[in-house]
Amino acid sequence: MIAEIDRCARCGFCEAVCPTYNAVRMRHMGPRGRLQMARIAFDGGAPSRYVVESLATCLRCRACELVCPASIRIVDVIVEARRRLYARA
Amino acid sequence: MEGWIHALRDLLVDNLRRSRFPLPADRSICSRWASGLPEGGRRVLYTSCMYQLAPLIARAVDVLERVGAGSGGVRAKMAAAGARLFGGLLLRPSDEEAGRADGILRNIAAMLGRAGVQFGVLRDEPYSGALLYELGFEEDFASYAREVYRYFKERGVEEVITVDPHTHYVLERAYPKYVDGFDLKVVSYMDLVRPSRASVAKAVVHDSCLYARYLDRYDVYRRLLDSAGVARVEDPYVTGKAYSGCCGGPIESVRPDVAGEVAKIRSRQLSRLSDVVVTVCPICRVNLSRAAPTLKVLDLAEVVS
Ligand code: SF4
Ligand code: SF4
Repeated sequence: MIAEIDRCARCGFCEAVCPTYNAVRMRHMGPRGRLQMARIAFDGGAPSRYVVESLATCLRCRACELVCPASIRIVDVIVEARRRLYARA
Repeated sequence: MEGWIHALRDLLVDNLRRSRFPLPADRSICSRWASGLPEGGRRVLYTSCMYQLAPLIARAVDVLERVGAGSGGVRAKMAAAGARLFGGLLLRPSDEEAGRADGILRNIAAMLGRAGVQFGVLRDEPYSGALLYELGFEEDFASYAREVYRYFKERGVEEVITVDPHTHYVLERAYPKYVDGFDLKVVSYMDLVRPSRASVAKAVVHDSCLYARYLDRYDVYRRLLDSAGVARVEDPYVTGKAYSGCCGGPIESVRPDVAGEVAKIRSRQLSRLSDVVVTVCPICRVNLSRAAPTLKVLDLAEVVS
């Protein structure tokens, strides 16, 4: 999963199609921000409010994956990170 | 926010344990549409009560917000609210919502009948557990899914016909991961029906994320609309596979404010193409209708027959 996150070039193409990013225009509520929040969740540190908000509000709509030039499995990463986060709580 | 999410989990799990339905509601609303149809059999039409449930989700969130479950000490507050409010109060769809849900399901059953598909219904069918899965409560989902699978097997069911993308997705993609030996055949009613009439002449399709980007049905409901003679308005940046944005429904119970904004943006995009929107998921229909009351949002099974 971390290897998936590492492949992100931070190009931002995914943000253009992300419904939650377009609704609130905050980076942690878009795909590339969520990948970085997922990294924090995988690292196992105390999650901030932003990490929870970021991972809990992904719609799993997969719009981002269809435009990501690196074909990152964005939703799988987010869902797995969210699972770990909730399991710890 | 974590408190809210875990309180939500408690509410769902508690209700599923008690009634195999995720919210406190009168379960008779789920099978009213099915009068006259045969009970059970090898192949069943499985609604998971999604059409009746969709309008109740927002209502449950409203109730919880009103009692202040969104702020400090959420879990305790929500438990207290659950006991106090939901103890006696059952959520009910309005007569109009319930009537629409019944009409949609009756039309699906009628279209299946005309296509020569034989099926039964299960009047006490359990909810699929999709909400648990989608909100990320995997372990709870796994044990509940095993229970639902047992329910089907005890009744000799071999094949289920689904009517919505959420139920279809969990049965086809999630159940096999969590239920040993899962062997139910899962088909969508859309794969079986052959509609020839339509109630509108022109419309824009609002895709379901699951149908379009997970379950490979993007073209299926478009073909059904075509065969019924509905002129589709398409714009690659609004209705293309990657750009057909979500309605916001999946986070309705997590962040209703964000879900509402997502729905508003989506309905604005759609309204530029047509004032009639066709949805293929009950949650999309409820969300878009609420965000844009002037838009005519119709389910596929209200449009074709
Ligand atoms: S489109 Fe892909 S590579 Fe580009 S920022 Fe988004 S996730 Fe990273
Ligand atoms: S799957 Fe999540 S991150 Fe990707 S576009 Fe949809 S809401 Fe945004």
